[in-house]
Amino acid sequence: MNSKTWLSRRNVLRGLGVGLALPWLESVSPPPAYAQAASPIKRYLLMYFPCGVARAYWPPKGAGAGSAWSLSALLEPLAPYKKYLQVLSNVGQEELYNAGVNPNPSHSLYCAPSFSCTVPDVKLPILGGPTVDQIIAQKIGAAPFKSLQIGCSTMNSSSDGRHSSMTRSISWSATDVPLYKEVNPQKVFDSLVAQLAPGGATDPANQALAQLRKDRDLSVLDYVAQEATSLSTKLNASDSRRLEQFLTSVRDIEERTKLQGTSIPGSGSTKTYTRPTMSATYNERRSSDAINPTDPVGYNRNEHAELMNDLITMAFETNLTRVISHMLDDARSDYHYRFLKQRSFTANSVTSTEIDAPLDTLLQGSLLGYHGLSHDGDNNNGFATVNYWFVQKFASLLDRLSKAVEPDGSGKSVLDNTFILFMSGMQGSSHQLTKLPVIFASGGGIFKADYHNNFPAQVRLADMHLTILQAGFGVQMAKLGYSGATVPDLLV
Amino acid sequence: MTTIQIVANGTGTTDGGVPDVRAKGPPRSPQLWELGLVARYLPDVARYGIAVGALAFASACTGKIGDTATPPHGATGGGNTGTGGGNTTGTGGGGVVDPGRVGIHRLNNTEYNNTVRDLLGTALQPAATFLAEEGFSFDNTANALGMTPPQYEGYLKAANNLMVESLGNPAQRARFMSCTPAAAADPCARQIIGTFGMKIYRRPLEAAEVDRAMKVYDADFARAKNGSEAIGQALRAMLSAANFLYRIEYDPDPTSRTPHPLSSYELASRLSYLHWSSMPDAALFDSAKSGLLLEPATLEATVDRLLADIKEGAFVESFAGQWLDIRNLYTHSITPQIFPTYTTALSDAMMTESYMWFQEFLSKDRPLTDWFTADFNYVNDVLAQHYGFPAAKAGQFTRVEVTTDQRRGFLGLSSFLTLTSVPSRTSPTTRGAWLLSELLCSPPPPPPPNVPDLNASAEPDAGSQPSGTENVRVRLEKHRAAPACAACHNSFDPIGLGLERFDGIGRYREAYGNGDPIVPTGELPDKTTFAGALDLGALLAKDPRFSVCAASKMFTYAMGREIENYDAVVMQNLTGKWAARGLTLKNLIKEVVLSDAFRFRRGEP
Repeated sequence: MNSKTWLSRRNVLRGLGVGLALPWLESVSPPPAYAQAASPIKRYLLMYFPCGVARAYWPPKGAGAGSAWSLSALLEPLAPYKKYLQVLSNVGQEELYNAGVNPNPSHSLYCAPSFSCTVPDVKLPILGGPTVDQIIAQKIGAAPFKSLQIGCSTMNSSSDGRHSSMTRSISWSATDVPLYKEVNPQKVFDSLVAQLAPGGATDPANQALAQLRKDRDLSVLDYVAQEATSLSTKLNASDSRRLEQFLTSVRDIEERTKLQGTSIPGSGSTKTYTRPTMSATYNERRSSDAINPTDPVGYNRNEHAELMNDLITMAFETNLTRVISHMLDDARSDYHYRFLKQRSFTANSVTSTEIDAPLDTLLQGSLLGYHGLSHDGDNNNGFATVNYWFVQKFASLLDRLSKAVEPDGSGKSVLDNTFILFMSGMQGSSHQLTKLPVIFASGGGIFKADYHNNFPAQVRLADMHLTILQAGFGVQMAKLGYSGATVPDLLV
Repeated sequence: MTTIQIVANGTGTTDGGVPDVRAKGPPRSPQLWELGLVARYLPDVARYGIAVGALAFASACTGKIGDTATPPHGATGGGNTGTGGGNTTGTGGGGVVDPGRVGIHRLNNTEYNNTVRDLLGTALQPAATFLAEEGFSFDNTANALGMTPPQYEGYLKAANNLMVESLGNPAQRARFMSCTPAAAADPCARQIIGTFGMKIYRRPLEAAEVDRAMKVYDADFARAKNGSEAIGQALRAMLSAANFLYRIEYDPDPTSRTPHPLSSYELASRLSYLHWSSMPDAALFDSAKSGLLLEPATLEATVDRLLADIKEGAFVESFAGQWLDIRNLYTHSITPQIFPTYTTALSDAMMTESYMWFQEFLSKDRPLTDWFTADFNYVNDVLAQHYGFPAAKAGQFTRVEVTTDQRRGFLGLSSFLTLTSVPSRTSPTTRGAWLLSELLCSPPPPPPPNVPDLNASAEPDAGSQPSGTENVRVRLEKHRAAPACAACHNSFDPIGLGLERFDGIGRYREAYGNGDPIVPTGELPDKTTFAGALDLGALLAKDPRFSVCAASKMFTYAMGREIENYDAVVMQNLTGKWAARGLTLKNLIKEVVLSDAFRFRRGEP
């Protein structure tokens, strides 16, 4: 027996966790507009954050349209974009609790099911149905990437004893198909660029090589698809279903490969995108120089989130995809947001102030991680400080999308044609399922904007989603999970 | 002889007066136990009610640790020969017990890395950049391993990178380039595809499969006029195929429930992935080719051979790393102000010790009856200091037997003691419930709604807390004063409190930070008393549930599927034979491998 075996192997793994940072510029142009989807709104973005909010500082003041309402201390970063927003108060999903499933542990139950509105299996990764972003992707997803799943968690976050897809994936294409998110901005960028310019071949000298690569990829994919098809006759029903997952994935890549490097008739602008220099890998072990899970060297969560905002903007303005889901963090993340400075919130104030001290100086022990913070009350400054940061990242995305120009020459912004749902599946510190924090951002015209919708009676989350599906995206669906009816009040 | 009992459904009211957790009511308070550490074991119970061992889930709260009045059939060694040879109660034909069914099984990320290492001789670990594996239970559970477009994209790119590397590296190239293909439809290409393709698909190829790969070769030769590159493309295609990425076992009739033996190649793969998390080696392929592998005697000899080659500790890291949660130390969080000596070097040493400790049970044939009492540790300088042992050589791990009687057996391993603690202090509740769940397979039921949160107020293990604050034991005793809490907490709190002389990172101590002396005595619900950790270990050593639990974990891991109701007979047979043979890990693996479930399979409509 050799004690070094384990040590040396671990070192190898650790070394591989470090991403290469190569300076790389790509000048690429957006591909052609794909067949116009028969949908009122062109794009859908689901932006998720975990554990709810410090409720004391969340609800807007007043209700109704325009000057009848104003932002709260937690929503204050959204001030420049108020005209795009509809804040929903009194949306709930108690059906999850009432369905008879053991509500403990709650995080896995109040994550993806918030977007499928089904009651999941308690153990296996069985959600009960697809999530709303995937239903929308079916309708409007005609683009090289039918949808993208991204996120910011670099931790091997706790999964509450369930299959970890229940706490780490908010997009499911079917009841048993969690779509794992990509957290590495470099990989997202590379995939997008590969689609626009395979092999980095914007240089004509590389075109032949790029074509060879594409032909080879297609040849391999053809072999793989044929082989799997021949297999399926030898399997029983349940295995055939699993093989179908494989074949679906192969065909998805095959279709995307065929579209690689498609020329761009009728498109004007050329934009330069820079490859992110920061890599972020999932399952990163805590760093080697400290014991509490500090960030790996060279990693910065704020930069990570900003890069993801860049990539969302890039993917949308190039029409490479129309549907994205983005997890700002995992459902039961205990990430230590110690890069943040503390903010001080006070009751009834509509602003907060930054204190010149890192977040962790006031906090003790196990409460330092985000999940721990979230349990320390609905008025605790640590919890609210992280919530505020989530809202800031939402605001900075709105800033980008409102400035990004639609490639169709209409003069509109990308945000004008995009619907964004920013929400959490929990209320706040007590992790209840009522009064969920929910915000729409859209260009208006279909959903009320510059509006605080303070419903007198609780609105079912499923009904809210159903309304978005039907009115926003023309999805002909009478029912979503446990939904009852649509919510006309959401609409203009 | 008592029989094994599989409880069909474990949710609901227990006999301890605990309210039905499904009862409607206001959403419950968070952090019912402690930070979810305990809660992770609940779904097992909720879904399957696994109680492999006669102590059903519902009786977990009676906490009859050490109670041998109702032993779960004879897995306690000696005496009981179980049902050896009595494979007659199954549902299958030919005297074969229902072997159950494992679906097509995608290689997990570890298995993928190991497989391409052994296949191509590569040092690349492509899966390091794959999307994170989403595991539950063991990460080789077949039906939790799905496939999505981004995942497939990762495999596709990896296959390309691997072949680019292999073509450019003479040693790697020689593994498959047994001749030099130089023309369209070159017989040499056909030979390479047939020979190396057998290793890729882990079985001989059918003619139609060779033809299909030759088409890739020919198409590429037509494109680039380069035989090597064309072979590279053909092999790349095979490395991207379902037959490589999945372990697929075939049924003559995929819809028939009649058991049939696995093919010798399928068996070879089951063996190699169990022992090495990797593909079969040349000797295993030979044994599969000759059919000798199907003989029970060959199987046993093969287990010995595969275990002797520890291949970077794949089995121990994977099986023990997951069963005993050792891997969790990678992400375990500690409050540095309270435990300033907890460094990465220390947590690495804790993990290494646990792997070596487990490896000793495996390779030295120590019976599992020693698990709680074995008096040895593996320490390097860092860990020796942590344990208060005499100084050890820097960096190197040494086996030591220290006779202070403070630290003994599994209960003295700092990995276990640390990962069942919260960042700032011990959590006796978590330690007790973890032992019940993971080592006795008797997880306590979930806590009822609206229990108060202990965590926020219990004092940390060290630091500047004012004296006079209540220690963990006092607070837990108050908690247990409530009858609704007592029923369950009485079953696990005393176990954890018996380990209180080990702090939140497993250091020995005799007083709390506030100066209170630590009283490690306890009383179990059946009124058995113990004086401390050593006593407790002796009680656990006598608990028959442990070996049955170990068997169920090994079975789950080896099969790549959860235990189902129909496995009762297989489990009964194999635990009986294991007990008769001697409760070593090697014997357990052999009995699992010899079981009908491992050697047979069936279809399903």
